[in-house]
Amino acid sequence: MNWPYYLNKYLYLFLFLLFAIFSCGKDNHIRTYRLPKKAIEISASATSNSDDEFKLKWKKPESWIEFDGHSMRLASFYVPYSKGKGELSITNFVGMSGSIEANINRWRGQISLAPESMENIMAVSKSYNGRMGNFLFFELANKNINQAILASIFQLENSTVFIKLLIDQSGLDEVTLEYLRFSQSLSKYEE
Amino acid sequence: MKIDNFLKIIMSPKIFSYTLIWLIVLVFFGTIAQKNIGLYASQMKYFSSFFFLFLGFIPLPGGRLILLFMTINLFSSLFKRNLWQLKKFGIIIVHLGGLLLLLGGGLTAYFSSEGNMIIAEGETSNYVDDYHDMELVFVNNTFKDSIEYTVVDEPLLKEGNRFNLFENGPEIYILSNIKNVRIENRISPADSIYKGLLEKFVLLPKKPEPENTQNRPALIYKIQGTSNGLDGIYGLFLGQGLNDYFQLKEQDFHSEYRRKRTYVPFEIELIDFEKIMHPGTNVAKSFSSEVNLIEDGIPRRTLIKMNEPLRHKGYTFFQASFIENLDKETTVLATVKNYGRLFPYISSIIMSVGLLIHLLISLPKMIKKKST
Repeated sequence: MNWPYYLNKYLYLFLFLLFAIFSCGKDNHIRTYRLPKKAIEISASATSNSDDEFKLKWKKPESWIEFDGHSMRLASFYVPYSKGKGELSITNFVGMSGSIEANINRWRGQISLAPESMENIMAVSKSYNGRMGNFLFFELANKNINQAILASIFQLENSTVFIKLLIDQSGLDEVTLEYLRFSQSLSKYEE
Repeated sequence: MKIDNFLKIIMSPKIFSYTLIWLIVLVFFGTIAQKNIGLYASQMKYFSSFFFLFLGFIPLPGGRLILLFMTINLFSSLFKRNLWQLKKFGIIIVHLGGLLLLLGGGLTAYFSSEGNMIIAEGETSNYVDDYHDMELVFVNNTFKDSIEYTVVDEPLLKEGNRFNLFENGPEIYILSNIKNVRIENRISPADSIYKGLLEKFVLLPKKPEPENTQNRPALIYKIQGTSNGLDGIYGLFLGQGLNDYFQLKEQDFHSEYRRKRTYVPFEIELIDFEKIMHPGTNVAKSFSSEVNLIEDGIPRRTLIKMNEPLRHKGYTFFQASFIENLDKETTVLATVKNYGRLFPYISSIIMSVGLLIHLLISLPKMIKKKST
C-alpha cells in the first residue's frame, strides 16, 4: 500500500491553494449599494404629535421626558443633565412670526442679555442641514446669571418652526450635541 | 534532490511538536494578556496574527503563522511513503481528521463574521453590526425611492491614507483614526478649515478601554478637490446622529461612521421581548425574544431564548443582551455566520474513529508482546 511518490505534485498544489487563500484581501475596498427608502424610514421612525394639521416627527434622546406644555406648543420636553433639567419647546407659526432679529432679541432679553444688531446675530449663528431642510442654530448664554438658550429656526414655505431650549449655562456642554441631533431629526409627519 | 530535502523538512514530525508547544505558549500568554488589553485585542495580537512584537521589539510568530505551518506539516506528512500501510490506517484517519480541523479553523478565521443585530419592539432589522470593524459611509439622499450608500472599508481608513470616492471625485485624506474619543464643545471659534460637526465640537482622544465594544471610535478626514467650497476637515464618531450634509456630484450626501454593516437576506421583526429576573434582584434570570422571521414577505413566528438560538441560512442568532428603554425594550441578538461551524464536530468524530481503528489494529500486537 505504498503511496505513489509522483502524487507529491498535489502537495505543491495544496501549498499553492493555501497561499492563495491567505493572500485573499478581506474587505478593503469601496463599494456602493442601494436600499429602498421605506426600510430606512421604519428604523428611524419617531413620534408624531399635535392635533393640528401641521404635524412633526422627530427622534429624541431616551432621557428626554415629554410633558404637556403651553397650548401654543407642538411639544414640550424636559431635558435632564447631571445638575438639573432644561425645558425645550417646539412651536410653529404661520409666516415668519416676527423677524429673526426680533425673536433672538426677545430670547436674549429673557436671559438678561442686551439686544444685538441683525448683523451680529447672524455672525454667531450656524447653519445646519436637517431632515426638514436648513435651519439656523443660535447659542445664547449669560454666565452672570447661569442661564442659556439654544434655539433653532426652520424657515419653511408657509410657516416657521422654532425649537427653544432654556437651560442653565453650566448644562450646555452636556446637552448641545443631543439638542442639535434632535433639531436635525425633525421632519414633517406625512401619513 | 533539493526538493526532496525540502519535503523532508516540512514533513518532519518535529515541526508538529514544536508548533504544538508554541501554541501552548501562545494560549498561556494570550490568556494572561486578556486581563490588561481585553479579549479582542489579545485574540488579535496572539492568535489572529502572523507575527507579534514581544516586549515591543522582538518579533515572534503569531497563531495564524503557526497554524499555517502545522497545516502544511500535517498535510505533507500524508505523503510519507511508509505511512501508507494497512497497519497505519488509523493513523492516516487521525491525520485527516486533524487536517480537517485546521482547515475548518482557516475557513472560520477568514470567512466567518459576527456582530449584533439590535431590534426594538415593533421594529424590523435586516443587518448585523460588526463588533469591531468600522466603515465610513457616504449616504446619497437624492433619489426618490432609494438611498445609495458608498461604503469605505476599515483597511482604507488608516491615518495618512488617501482615496477618491468616485471617479474624478474629490479626494478623501484620512487625518486621524481614533479608537476612543470624548466630544467637547469648542471654547473658541473654529478655524474656517473645520466644517460640519468640527465647527462646534472637538474630538479628543481618550484612553481606549480594554473591551473594544466600550470604545467610541472617531475619524477625522479632509475633503479636497471640490469646486463648491466643501474642502475642509470633517469629523465623525460612532453614534454621532448629527450628520454633516454636503453636495457632491450635484447630489445630496451625508456621511456616517458606523460599525461595519452586513445585510442578511431576510428580516427579523421583534414582536415582544421578555425578561425574568432573579427574585429580589436586578439580575436577569432569563430573557427571550419573540420574533417574526420574514422571508419573501412571509412571516414565521419563532422564539429565541438563551441557549436556544435561531438558525437560518447559515446565520445563528443568539439571545445575548437587551437594552431597557423608557417606552419599549430592545433586544440584542449576537449573530454569527461561520462556514467552519461543523468542522470541529466532524473532525473530532473522524479522529476518534481513527484512534479506535489504530487501537484495534495495534491490540493483537500489544497482547502478543505482553504475553511474551
